[in-house]
Amino acid sequence: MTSIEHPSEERLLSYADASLSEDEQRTVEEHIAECAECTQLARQSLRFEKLWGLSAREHGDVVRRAALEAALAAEEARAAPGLRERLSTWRSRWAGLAETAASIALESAQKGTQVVAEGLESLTRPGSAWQLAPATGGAIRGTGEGGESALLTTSLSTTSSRARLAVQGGDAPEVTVRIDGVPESVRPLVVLLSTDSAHQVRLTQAERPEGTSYLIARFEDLPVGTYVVAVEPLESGNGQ
Amino acid sequence: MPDTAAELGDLVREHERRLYGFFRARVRDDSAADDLAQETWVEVLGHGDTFDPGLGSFWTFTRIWADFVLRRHWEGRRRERERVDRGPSGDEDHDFDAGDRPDVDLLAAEDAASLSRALRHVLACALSCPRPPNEIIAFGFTKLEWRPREITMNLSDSTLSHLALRLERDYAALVPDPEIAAAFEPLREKLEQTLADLLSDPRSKRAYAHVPDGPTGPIALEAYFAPDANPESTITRWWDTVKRAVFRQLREQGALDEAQSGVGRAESAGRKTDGANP
Repeated sequence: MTSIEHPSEERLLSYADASLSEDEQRTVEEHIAECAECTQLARQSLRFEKLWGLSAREHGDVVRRAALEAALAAEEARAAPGLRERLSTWRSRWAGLAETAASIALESAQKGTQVVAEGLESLTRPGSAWQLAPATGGAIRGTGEGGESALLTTSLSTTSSRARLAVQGGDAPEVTVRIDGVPESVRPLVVLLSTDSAHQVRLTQAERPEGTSYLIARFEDLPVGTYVVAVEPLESGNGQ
Repeated sequence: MPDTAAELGDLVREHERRLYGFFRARVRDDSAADDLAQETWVEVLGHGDTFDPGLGSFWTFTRIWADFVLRRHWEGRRRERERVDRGPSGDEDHDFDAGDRPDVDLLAAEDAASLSRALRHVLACALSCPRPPNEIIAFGFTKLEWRPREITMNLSDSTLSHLALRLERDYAALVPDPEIAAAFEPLREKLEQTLADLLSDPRSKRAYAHVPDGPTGPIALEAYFAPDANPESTITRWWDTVKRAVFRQLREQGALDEAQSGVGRAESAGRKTDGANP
């Protein structure tokens, strides 16, 4: 290949998916160094390869993250100053990532509401010890009349904080986040985001019931749909 | 590391054009590529005592540092974007360790909203690309992380209509994007058409000459496998065909320029190629 003999589109796609031999890579890269036209095509090929390589699961992670970022931005715009600062920190400092997060599906079933809940590691900030995961692995499912519930919990530790998520189906579905073992002054924000078309957001601050050592955030009267629940990163100045 | 400055100079000269090409393909402008190449040489020379020819070539050593420099560059871009997001009253002095953040790469430097739009668009292009539905469905199941072997073993006797429904349902369960359903509409339409309706080029028509006549939907996936080829290789070939069709479509739309380079849509008509592929 000379400097005026361009690599084919096929070859640049192969360059992007790293399937060329060492010699071919070298030839392509040396050509790119001199050719603006092929530089553009190589940039497009590399970007395409990255997009193409993402699985549906990773696509879903991106969609949830975008939805959570948008929800935080929307809440930030209408929040009072103190709260606005915390939401801004959550959104920008952590790029919308949470201390812990889970996806929840409340589905209509013949005998009430079916619940599917699953921890979302992809929305959890790096370094968090709060990975919501059921002990048995996979998603938690529950179906039934009158409030059968699904429960997710972190692996228990006597020394670290932990969060639990209870999702109740039945006639009045609700989601409860319980957080144990955090210092008394800490009261993280908790967001419940509908990932259906409406993208409705509910924001609350976890409260400590009198005489207890844990925090509770509760979302009641939820319509059937899919949701993401996310807890504010604990290093965001959350009410301390 | 080479013993003399002259030997070192020879090595750098040997690879400098390639290193610039490596960066030029990966960053938004040529001056940034030049800066990153220079930064890489500084790292390479500064860490020369760790180069062991027994572990790899000088280029391999240089690439390790080039990857490091590139990741640092993308992390910087992301920080810059976040500073802009925070605005002038934001916490400018807040210091954080890049190690606290998720992996940074070409896509991670983009914001989630634009990446989400790009992924939706790629999916829509794939589901509507001018290829028969069996190929598109094979692509779809690989997106669901099915391997070609798993597809041939578990899905071969299912009809395309059944597989399309399953694909849509499973994709929607993983991707909570209400606009995804509309992206599947072109695939649903293809299932009511015949291969004769869908294929125009003689080569594709020959490749599917063995498939029964009629709408594509009620025909089992295995009927589309080439009689004289390994089904797993066929799945891989279908996936690759869809990939190339989508790439061409996105290029024509200029959709791959959006967040990456800002480079215009220079048309490549009349390019003289190396002829590696048609």
